[in-house]
Amino acid sequence: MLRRGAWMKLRTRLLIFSSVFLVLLPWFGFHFTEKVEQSLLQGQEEAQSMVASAIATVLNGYTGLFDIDEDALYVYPVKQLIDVDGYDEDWQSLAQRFTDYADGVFSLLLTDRDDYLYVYIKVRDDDIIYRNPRYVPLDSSDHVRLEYLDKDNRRHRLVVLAEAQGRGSVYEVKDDWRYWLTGKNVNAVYAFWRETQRGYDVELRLPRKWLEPNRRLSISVVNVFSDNERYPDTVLATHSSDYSALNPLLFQSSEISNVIKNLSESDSRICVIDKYRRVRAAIGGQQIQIPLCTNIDKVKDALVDRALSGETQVTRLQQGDETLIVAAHPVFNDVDRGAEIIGAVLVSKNSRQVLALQRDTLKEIAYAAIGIFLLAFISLLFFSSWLAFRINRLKNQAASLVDDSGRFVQNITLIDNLADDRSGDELGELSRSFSSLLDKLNRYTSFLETVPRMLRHEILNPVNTISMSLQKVNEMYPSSSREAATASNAVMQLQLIVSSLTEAANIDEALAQDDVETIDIAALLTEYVENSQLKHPQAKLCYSGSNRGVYIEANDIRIVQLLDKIKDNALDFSQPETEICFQLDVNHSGFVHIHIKNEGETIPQSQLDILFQGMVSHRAEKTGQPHLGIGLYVAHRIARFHQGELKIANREDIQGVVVSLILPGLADTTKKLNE
Amino acid sequence: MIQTIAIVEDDRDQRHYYAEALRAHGYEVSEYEDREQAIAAFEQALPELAILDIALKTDVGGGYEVCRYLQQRDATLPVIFLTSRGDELDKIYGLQLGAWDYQTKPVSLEFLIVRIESFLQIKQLNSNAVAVKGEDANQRFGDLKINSRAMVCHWKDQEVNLTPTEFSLLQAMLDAAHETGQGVSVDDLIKATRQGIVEENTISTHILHIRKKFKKIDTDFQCIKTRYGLGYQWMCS
Repeated sequence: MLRRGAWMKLRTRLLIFSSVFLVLLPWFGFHFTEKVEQSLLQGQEEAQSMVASAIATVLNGYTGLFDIDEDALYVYPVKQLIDVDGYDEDWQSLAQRFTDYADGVFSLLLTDRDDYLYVYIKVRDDDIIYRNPRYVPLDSSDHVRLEYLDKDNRRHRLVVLAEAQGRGSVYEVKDDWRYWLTGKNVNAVYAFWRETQRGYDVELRLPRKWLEPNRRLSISVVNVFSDNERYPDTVLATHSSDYSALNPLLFQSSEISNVIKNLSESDSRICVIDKYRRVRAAIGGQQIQIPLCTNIDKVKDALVDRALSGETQVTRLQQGDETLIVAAHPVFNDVDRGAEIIGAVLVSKNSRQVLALQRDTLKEIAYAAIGIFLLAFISLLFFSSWLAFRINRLKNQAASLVDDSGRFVQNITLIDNLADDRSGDELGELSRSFSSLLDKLNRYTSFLETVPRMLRHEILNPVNTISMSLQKVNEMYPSSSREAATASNAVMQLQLIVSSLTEAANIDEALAQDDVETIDIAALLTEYVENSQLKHPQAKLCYSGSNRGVYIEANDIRIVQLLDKIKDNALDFSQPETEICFQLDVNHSGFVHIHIKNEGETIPQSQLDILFQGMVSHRAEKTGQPHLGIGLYVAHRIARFHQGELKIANREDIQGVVVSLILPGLADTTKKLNE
Repeated sequence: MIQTIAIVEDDRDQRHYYAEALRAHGYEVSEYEDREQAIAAFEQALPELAILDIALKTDVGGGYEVCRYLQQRDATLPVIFLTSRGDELDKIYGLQLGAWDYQTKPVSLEFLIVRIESFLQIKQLNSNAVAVKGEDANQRFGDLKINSRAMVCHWKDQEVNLTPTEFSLLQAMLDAAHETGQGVSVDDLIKATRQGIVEENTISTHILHIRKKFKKIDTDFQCIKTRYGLGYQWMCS
């Protein structure tokens, strides 16, 4: 029987198929989480949009909060302490925020901390003219002017000047900027003057309360013509055309912050910008690392553009590995729709949380999938092993009932003990139908086996009658003795057929009663061939092999019976004048091989395998003996009885047939051979 | 004295042939077709010899029962089974019941009559006490002592219970050994059984039985040699 590869086995196939489907499980999980992520992000977008909208709605109408000119001076909040020493190290975090004025002649940075407003001014000047105390007018040297409104809307004018590098002097002056009011240094304002490669830097601080509540401040840098001609040459100011106007100070709006404070979340950043794109308030979400409204600054972004043109907008910004969701909503000066836009609200939130959620879900799905996979794998393995075991058991049981010649091993009257016959599934059904099939087959086989015996009984009685009638006829009519003899001969043949059939049918039972003993097969063969030559003088028999000392466990009479069958067959098929050779070998594994070779007709390949199955004969011509092929069947059974094997093949060297009898030798065969 | 032979056989034609042939040889023959009929008659009078078929109509083992009955009545009564059941087991069973012979059909009438004659003779000899046993019929071959007329054989002074067929085979081997010192071919042994059709295989079975019976008495019995490819030889070292 052909054996397919192991991959074809039930268990393997089941596992491969199921694995393919099980692998799809995590894949579906992954796609599912992707969908979940998208919908979560979408949900977040909507939520953020609503927050933006809500904040914007709250801020609608707070016109005053946004009503600040474009030329305002920005006051950046700063975290570290500022040491007023003329060096800008303390300002490093804001280094990019310096604003240039007068084509870069001076640049300015303002910050507030605690109760002071700090100002850092970098001036380009290749000829610094310090104050000479001999000159009374305060505008006789390079200096910085500060002008602000107090709470009573009165203007105050301060000049900052120095006689050398170091702490500068601060005087309040009259509106001509030339003469002091009191002659006293304004100690509340601390200033430091330091020369730089480009010119000089002035760092100063003044109390914030002076500026409240108007928050108006202008800063000018004044350069005198020369040391000899000490009068102001250029006055460069932060305010543009209208000399009398003061710049509004733009602080982070605590009012707006207060309004939105309650709406903020720690993980989201809310910033409010005015129509000049300046961030007026930014709270929450300190961990969000993006340039968008991290500090008060002009926000330049398409998103802001759209919000300021009245659109509600949600965008996702990719920031490294992270995705930032930014929602923007315009703020109107009135609650009514269609009113003027005064600013916008931006709500930014990191999608990290969503992604973390997705990652967790993915992890859970992965674990669950692995768990399910393992569980399914194990149960499938178990199930398929179990199925395979049951099928194998059934197969083995069924196979064990029948021997290799297709006969039932035991005389079973009813086969009802196959495995799984009580099981309700398909295998149980298979087992039951197998049982009933085998049962029917067994009954049929039993019937067939009893046929020869019945036949013998049924045929021999009439044969006996015929035989006796013929004897009678012979006595009564001696003249017809020839006819009677022919008839007797026919009767004899009939009897031979019947007895051959009975012999074949009963061979196994008969063999079972035979004893085996240690015999010298070499001596037996030598003698057998010699005697057979005497018996068949017309044939040419030869023997090659040892003459003694090859021992086997056997029943010698049965072995001779077997040899007779094969010898008769060989004689029938041999060409005249050719040799029939008996050959005895002992191979390394201790098996005794007896080959009987003849020359003559070969056997068609298709018949070689079935030749021992009984009732098969390939004899072409009649030889006067009944030929049913039973001889070879009996020989085969005798070989099996001796745990041996009988093989028949066509010879490869010349045309002819070789029959090989392989018998297990005794363990000490070779030893005895060598003795 | 006319000797009575009983034939128990369900087949009318065969029964008639046997009866006719036996009557022609001067025997008185009583015919029965089943067990009941036969036993009813045997209750009245026993025959000198009985020929039994085993299967009697639907009575599968009827012949055995009749044999058992007869052996109970007279253990020396010769019983010949004449049957179509040629299986070894049937044969052994029949002989164990005390039958003298077991012949498978078809049978030669001529041979059957010779057989019956010799059985009746042996019966008479046996019943006429040991002294009558003709010494002339006694032969000795080493440890073996046989009386060919009584078909009795002793090995080392113990009787070997051979059937007449087995005895004939032994006799043939002994004769050959005595005359030529050679073995007997299977073909010659077949002739010696004086039966219609005998196969080589049957001869080997008989030889096996003979060997077994000797070995029962003497486990070292080795005198019947197989002349492989030829036949068998009585050869005692």
